[in-house]
Amino acid sequence: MDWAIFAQVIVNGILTGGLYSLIAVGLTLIFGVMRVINFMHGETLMIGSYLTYFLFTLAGIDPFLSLPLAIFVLFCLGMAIQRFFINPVIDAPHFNQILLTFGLVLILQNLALILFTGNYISMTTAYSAIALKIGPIRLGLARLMGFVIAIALTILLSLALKKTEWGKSVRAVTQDREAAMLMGVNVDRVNIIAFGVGSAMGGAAGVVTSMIMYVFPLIGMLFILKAFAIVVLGGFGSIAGAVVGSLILGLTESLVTNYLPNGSGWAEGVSFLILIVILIIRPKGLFYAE
Amino acid sequence: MSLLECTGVTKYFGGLAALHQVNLQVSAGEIVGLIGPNGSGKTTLFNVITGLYPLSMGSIRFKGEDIGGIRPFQVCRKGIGRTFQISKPFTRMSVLENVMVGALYGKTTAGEDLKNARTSSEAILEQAGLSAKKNARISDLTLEDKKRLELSKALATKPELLLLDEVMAGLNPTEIKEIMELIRKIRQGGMTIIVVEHVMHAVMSLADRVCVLHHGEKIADAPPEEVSRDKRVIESYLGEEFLLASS
Amino acid sequence: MPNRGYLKILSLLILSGILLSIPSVLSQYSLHMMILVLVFVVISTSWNILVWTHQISLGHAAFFGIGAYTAAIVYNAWQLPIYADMILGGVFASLGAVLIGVICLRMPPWALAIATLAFAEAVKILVIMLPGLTEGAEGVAIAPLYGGGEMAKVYAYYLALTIAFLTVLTAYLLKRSRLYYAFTAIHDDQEAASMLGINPTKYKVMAFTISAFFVGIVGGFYAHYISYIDPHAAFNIHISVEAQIMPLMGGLYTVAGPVVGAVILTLLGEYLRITVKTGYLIIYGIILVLFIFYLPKGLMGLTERWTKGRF
Repeated sequence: MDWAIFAQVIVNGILTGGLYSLIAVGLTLIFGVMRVINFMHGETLMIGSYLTYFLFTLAGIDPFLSLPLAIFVLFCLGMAIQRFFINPVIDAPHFNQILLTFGLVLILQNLALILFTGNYISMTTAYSAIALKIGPIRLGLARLMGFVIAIALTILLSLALKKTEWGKSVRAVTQDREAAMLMGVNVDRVNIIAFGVGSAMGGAAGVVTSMIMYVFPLIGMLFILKAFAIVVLGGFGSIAGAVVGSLILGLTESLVTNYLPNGSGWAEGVSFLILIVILIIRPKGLFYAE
Repeated sequence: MSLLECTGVTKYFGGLAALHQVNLQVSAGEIVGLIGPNGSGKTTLFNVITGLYPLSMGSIRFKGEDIGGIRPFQVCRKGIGRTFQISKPFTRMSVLENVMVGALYGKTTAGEDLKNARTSSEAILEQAGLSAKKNARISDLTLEDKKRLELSKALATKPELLLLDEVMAGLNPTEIKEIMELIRKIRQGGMTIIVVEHVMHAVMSLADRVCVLHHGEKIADAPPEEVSRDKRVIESYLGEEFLLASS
Repeated sequence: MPNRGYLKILSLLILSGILLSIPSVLSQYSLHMMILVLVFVVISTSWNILVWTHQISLGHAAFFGIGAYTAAIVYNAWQLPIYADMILGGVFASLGAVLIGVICLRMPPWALAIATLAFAEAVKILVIMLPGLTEGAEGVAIAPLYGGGEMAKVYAYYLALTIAFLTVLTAYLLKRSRLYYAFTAIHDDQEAASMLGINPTKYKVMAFTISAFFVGIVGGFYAHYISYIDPHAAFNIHISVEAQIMPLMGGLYTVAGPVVGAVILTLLGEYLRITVKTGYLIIYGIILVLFIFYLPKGLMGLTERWTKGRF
């Protein structure tokens, strides 16, 4: 048993998990508050990464500096989409919601396809190739920074949920929408802001992915199913659950990739396996607060 | 032999006992009232009898057969029909079609064919006073209509025991009188009925016997006049606004 | 009303006449388009049947792909007549449906939707990762249908027409049968339905099976027709997406709706694919959004007054 390799596999898994958590946290927030399955969440990542890419290649702005801008843009975009597209169907049959967000996915993906072509593009920043070495373990600098961003934003969100007025409203609505309304919470406002924040997190995830992998129009599809698997695993509405679930998924994928023959192919299937298993045995997830 | 025999029926939700050692016997042809303050477990008892909730402890026998743990559709096939507190009509179907569902599937898989089901359903609607609205959409119905429909659907499954869950909730005095008449008519046809109600005068007037639940336990089981005088029953209702006296 | 009845039969006869004589007037390319239309008529009609029980499948491509691969593998291994391996494709697709249907029984609609999406992707991965059976990502080649000569397309057209006819007929008979009451009751209120003697498990799985069966058959047909399938074509998410948009556009709880939607969208899609080339799917997204907002009952909903929901 090569412990050095094992340690590297674990580290890789954790770093990947960190990236996943950025997406999953946004998705779980939206579902917890609005009970809407947001299929277009993956597209917020896509938009974030394209934004970062263009800011970098056209204006030379470092991704780190794009981060606040991406967050802001996706925040506004998210709120707009919620207000004009999601809100009208929030009480409609699930069917309508599902198809509506699907339709938005098609629109956004293909808009990107039309505007940017389907080419896989990537940026090379000053630190793209740098890696830290801690003992036998290699940490890509970009990945590490992505991980740090993920942690920072997740902590920020958790603080916001605990300390701000909005945060408290979110927790109230997540627990019991009716009760929250009776207590005077402006659910509409909570919904809009939650969708904005969730989308902003997705956009931040996009910034990070642009630093470590290709940017292309369908990148959202790649992550959305994993995000669903994580949110189902961790429990809808639970930030902690999303973080734990992300780490579990990241670690499992890393282990499968390295230790199973043809692992990289099977690794893609891990999220589906988790998804179906959890949906069967405990659909509300591990951390669902009843 | 009793038609329905609940012995030691207990239902836990987490650590909380929603029902605790409830014994209830119902003989054929009776109307039994089931009353109690909110949260005393009346609907829970119905849900346990009809298989919507699994039984934690105890037994439920219907016509001598143990029905504990069987699924709701099987309970229906055995001959128990039930209305829901908040009526659950099938919104995409007309009134007649709603009742036909019960006629088509209530007894066996073969059931009736469409033509027979339509005829028998129309007869039931006639009895329930809904003939005029048989082709109406659910959205066009008044609250009382919906209650009558709820009843008709259950009746279409040709039950021997009918469980009515607050069928008079939200109705005005005239409507309540009409539903009471309907219930009496159904009983005259040979039906056994358990009536959960908050409209006290209706229960006291209709029932041969009244059982009282409080915090999941049965605290009284006697003819209406006795129950209305029972100290424990009165105490359990203190703080609740309702009428004990029959009117 | 006797007049209405005659009108219906007359229009159906005219339609049949047109459909049957089409090959003699159309070019090879147009014939190909018609075959595509028929394939999607089958897929959208089948998907719609599942909706009647309030189950939304976002991964219907799974059944198409299972059918396609079953037919291809079986044919290459044992040279069974194509009818046989197409039906086997349908059977295996149904088995897959039973599997996912049972798994998803107690799930709320959104969970079912995600699970079916995951199921489609999972089956695709399985196919890719088991090259011993399926040639993996390379795909499977099959001998061309009917020898591939000039008449091949004509025969293929009639075959597709037969499958489509059977599928639509099944949907039509289903909608007028006892079963539709059970389906609709489950759709509207599963708890109330079970209290009236309906076994939700039985009917929900039944709907899934019927829905998958014809899609599996037409998947098998398609594999033969194109004489080649690979995982990305067979399990393409566009198949799943179109399976939903077509019935929505045409009218979800009708029989004619999915057919109308299939015709319009297949032709529209092909037209756009040629003229616009990239990103034409954006139209589908726009249609989806517009219809959800303004025409949730689909196009058939507009004609409701005349057809009285009987189609």
